[in-house]
Amino acid sequence: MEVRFKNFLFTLLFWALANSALAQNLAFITNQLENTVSVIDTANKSVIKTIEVGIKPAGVVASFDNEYVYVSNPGNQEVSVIHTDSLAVVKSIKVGQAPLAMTLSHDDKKLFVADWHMDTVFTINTQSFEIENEFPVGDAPSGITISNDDKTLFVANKKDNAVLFVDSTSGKIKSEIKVGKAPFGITPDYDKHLLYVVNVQSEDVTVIDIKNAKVINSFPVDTFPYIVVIDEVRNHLFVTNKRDSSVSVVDRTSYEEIKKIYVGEMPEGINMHPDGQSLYVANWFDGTVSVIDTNTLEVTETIETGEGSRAYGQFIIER
Amino acid sequence: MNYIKLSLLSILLIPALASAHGPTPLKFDLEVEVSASPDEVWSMVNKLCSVKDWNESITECSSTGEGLGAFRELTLDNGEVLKEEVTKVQEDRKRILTTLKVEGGRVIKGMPIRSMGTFLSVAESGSGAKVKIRGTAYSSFEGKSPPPDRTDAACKAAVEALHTKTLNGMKKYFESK
Repeated sequence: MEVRFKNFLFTLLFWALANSALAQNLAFITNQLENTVSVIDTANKSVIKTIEVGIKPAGVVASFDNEYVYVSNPGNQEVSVIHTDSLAVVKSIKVGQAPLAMTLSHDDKKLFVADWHMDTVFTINTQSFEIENEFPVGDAPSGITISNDDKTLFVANKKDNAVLFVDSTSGKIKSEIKVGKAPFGITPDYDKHLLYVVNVQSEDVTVIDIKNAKVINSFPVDTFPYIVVIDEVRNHLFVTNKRDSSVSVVDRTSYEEIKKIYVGEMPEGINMHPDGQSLYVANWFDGTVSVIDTNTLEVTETIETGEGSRAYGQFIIER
Repeated sequence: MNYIKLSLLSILLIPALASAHGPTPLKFDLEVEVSASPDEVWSMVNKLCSVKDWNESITECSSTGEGLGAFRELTLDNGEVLKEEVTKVQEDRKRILTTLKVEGGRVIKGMPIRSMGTFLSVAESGSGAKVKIRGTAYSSFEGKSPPPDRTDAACKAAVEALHTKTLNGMKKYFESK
C-alpha cells in the first residue's frame, strides 16, 4: 500500500514537472510603428516570433481559453486574429474607421471593439468573425471593459471626460459618470466591485463603485498616465506614466503611493504575469518590455521588442 | 480675492483646448553633440527663449516664468505662433518637457499637428554634451484618409525639420562661443 502510494506520488510529481516544462506563457506585444506583434516566451524572456499584422497595431486582447489573440489596427481599420498554436494571423476582420480598445465576454463568444473615430462599439461574433451588432457610445472611446456577468460594458470616452455603462446586448446607455480629464485605460476590480479609470490629462485615477455607478475616490499619479493593473495578493495597484517613464505603485486600499519604478521610455501597456510574480510593461518610445518583480518592485529584465511597443490591453496567455 | 475669483472665472470661460489624442502618436528622436559642458547647456535650455538664438526659423520668442508651468510663444518665419508650456522638469536627469497644444480645428501652416510633447535632455558626452530632442506628436487630421499634406509622414517630417534646426543651431552656437 505504502509503495503504491509512493509510486502514485512519483507519478504525480513527474506529471507536474512535465506539465510545467510544457507550459509556455506568451506575451503578445503590439509594435505600433512597425506593424508587427512580438511574441515573448515569458519563461526565458525572449522574443520567439515576430508576426506581421495590420497597420499601426495598438490594442490587444487574449481570449480566456488562451486560444486566440485579437489585435486592433487603427491604421488599416481591421482586427487581426492570431492563433496561439500556429502564432500566425488566421483572419483579418474589417472594423469601422479606427478600432482601438477591445474587450471579450468571459465565454469568449463576443469581442467588443471601440472605434475611436466613429464613437461606436462593434460586437464581433468570434465563431463567424463577423460584426453582429454596433451601437453609439461617447466621443473618442479610449478604453473598454466588461462586467463579471458580461451584461454591462464600461466605456471610457476621452473627449467627454466620462465613463458610460452600456448594456452589452442592446447598447442601451445605463449611466454616464464624469471622471477626470481625458480618461483612457479602464480596469475592473471584480473583488472590490470597482473600476479604475486613468485620466491622461488630469494625471489621476478615478475610482468608480460599479453597483452604484458613482465616483467614490480619486488619486494622483504622474505625467500622462494610461493604464492600471491590480496585484490582489499584495494589494497593490500599478499605473503606467507615459511621460514620466515610470510605473506608480499605489496601495489598493489607502490609494497612497508606495513607490515609483522607472522603466523604459514612455510605457503604456502593462499586464500581470499569470503566476503573479512579475509585471510586463511595454515601452512605446524604446521598443522594449520591462519586467518588474512584484515582490521587490524592481525592474529585473528589459526585453527588446519592436518600434512603438504599445500592448494596450490583455496581452499574456497561459498554456 | 475678487481678482483671484475673476481669474478663476476667466480660466473656466476659456474654451476647452484641443485635447484629442488619436490612436497613433508620431515619434521623433534626434540628437546632436555640442562643445560645452552639460551644466552650461542645461542652464541655457532653462531660459526658454534661448531657442530663438539657435533656431533660424523662429523669428520671435516671448516667455512667462521659468520652470514648471512656464509658457513660451514662438513665432515662426511663416507667421505661425506656437504656444508651449513647460509640463515637466527633471533636474536630476537634465530633462525638460514642453507641451504644445493647438486650439481645436486650427491647422498650423507647414506643421499640421494638434499636439506635441517634446523632451529636451542634456547628458555628458566626451568633453562636451549630448543634447537629445525626443518625443511624440499627433496629426491634426482625424479620420482614415488625410490629404497628402496632412499625413502622419508629413507631420513627422515637419516636426523633425523644426527640431533639427534647433539642434544644429545649438551646435553652431556653442562652437562659436
